[in-house]
Amino acid sequence: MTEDSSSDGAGEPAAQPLATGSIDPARRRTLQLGAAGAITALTVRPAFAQTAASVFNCQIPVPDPARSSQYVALDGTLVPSGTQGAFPPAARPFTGEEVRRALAGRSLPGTSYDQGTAYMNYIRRLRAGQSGFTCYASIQLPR
Amino acid sequence: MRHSHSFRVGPVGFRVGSDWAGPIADLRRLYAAYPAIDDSFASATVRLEATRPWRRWIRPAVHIHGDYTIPDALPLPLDQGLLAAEMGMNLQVALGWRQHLLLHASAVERGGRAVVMVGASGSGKSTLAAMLGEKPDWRFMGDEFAMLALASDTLHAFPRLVSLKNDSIAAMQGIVPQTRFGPRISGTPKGNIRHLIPPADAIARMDEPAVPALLLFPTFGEDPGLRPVAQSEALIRLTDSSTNYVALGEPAFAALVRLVRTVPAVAIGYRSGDEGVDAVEALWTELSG
Amino acid sequence: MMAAKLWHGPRPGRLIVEPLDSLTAVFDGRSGQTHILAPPLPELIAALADRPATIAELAVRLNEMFDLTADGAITDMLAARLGELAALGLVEAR
Repeated sequence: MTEDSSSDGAGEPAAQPLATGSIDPARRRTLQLGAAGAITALTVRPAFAQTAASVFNCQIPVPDPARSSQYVALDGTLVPSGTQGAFPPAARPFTGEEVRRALAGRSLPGTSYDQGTAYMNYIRRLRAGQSGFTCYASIQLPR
Repeated sequence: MRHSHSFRVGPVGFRVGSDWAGPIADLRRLYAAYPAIDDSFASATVRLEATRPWRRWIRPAVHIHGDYTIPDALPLPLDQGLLAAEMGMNLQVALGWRQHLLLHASAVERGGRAVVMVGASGSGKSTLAAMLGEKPDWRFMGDEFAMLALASDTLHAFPRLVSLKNDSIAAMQGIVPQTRFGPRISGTPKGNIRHLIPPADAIARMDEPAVPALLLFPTFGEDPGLRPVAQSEALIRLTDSSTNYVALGEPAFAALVRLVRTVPAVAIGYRSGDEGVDAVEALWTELSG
Repeated sequence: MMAAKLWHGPRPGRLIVEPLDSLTAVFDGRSGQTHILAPPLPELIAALADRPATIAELAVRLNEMFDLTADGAITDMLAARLGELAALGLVEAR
């Protein structure tokens, strides 16, 4: 976690993470665990103000079939087949719906933690002309 | 395609092709002062297409195609061809541009610093920017997308034609010469639309960046008033307004966190264009003083 | 009797946490999602960050740092909040 050294001036001091040791009693504050009706989380869902597109019938292959002889590194870039720490192409393309769920925090079906991370990073780097780009972009359209 | 025009707006080179001459003639006239480019330098391509060859003449309907297409998008009638071209250009940028973080916002610059006006359609951000841009101290930077460079935290201008709707058209017709207006387009889902060529200095200086100095969230039609916007609310509203925030990932997150921590954010309500302009200038004076 | 579920926080370095006024912006490197979290969610993530805990253990940890209050039993409230974090993909019970 990052330390907050620049507050906007009005707030209480930020909580100290457990790892830094015990808390100065003078800074101990109240933590409300459940106020009725309180909203505690909001996930950013950017959207285009344009026509919505159906995501269910679109697919995102990982990687682009034109590059299916390469492996996917953890950061989503493509590397030579067999590279240590990288993953082979996904067994099948993912549907737009599966990727949309992965964006919401679920894992991609049939993938381990690191494999899913690698594939999602690949998808987020998709560019013009690459297979699956328009599908990925349309996932972010309003429903 | 049989008719086409290629030109540059800020960092984006467009190539617009069309099965009909009319929309291209409009683009040539309205973008005449903009740098022409060779087709091969275009980074965004728009094609206005008829679905079948005979649909070029019989009940002509314009399908918007390009590098990116929205499946199932409905076509537009030919008399809205210029609108189709502009929508197509917006779509290519919204879906394909990665060199900057895109915010659905207008922007005007003064002394190297910019006001970024964030809002949905109807908030009045286009009209406010257009009106301020006509004043000698302000430079119009764009009304559709504000482009934030992630490495430098600066805004790049993207001064496309201003898209004016309904009452805003008359408001601007009182201020600028008729020669700067595009054709009257009626019967759109948003009512009447008319495009306006930005002022000459906006086009001439389109490659000059600016440092964001004020984040404004205007709401037209609301009681006049002003309230500060908390950093977290500003962040949420900025990400909501971005078409490529998710795709850009962590650098975009970091850039917007820096932006909301360093730039004041204010929400204003206003009932007329003049009132909005006065509110912006008063805020600017207060921030600079 | 079944063993109590162990709650796991995100691996070190996966999240970027930026406090802003009273709310906290969080970038999840795994999903690429950005969340805006209100208390007590950021504090729960921090309390789990170093080692997993059952709800009972988490209550003890939090009690060392804060004066806890709730509109209900503390363990019920923690379970609800952890459920919210799980729905965001930020914590996991195993």
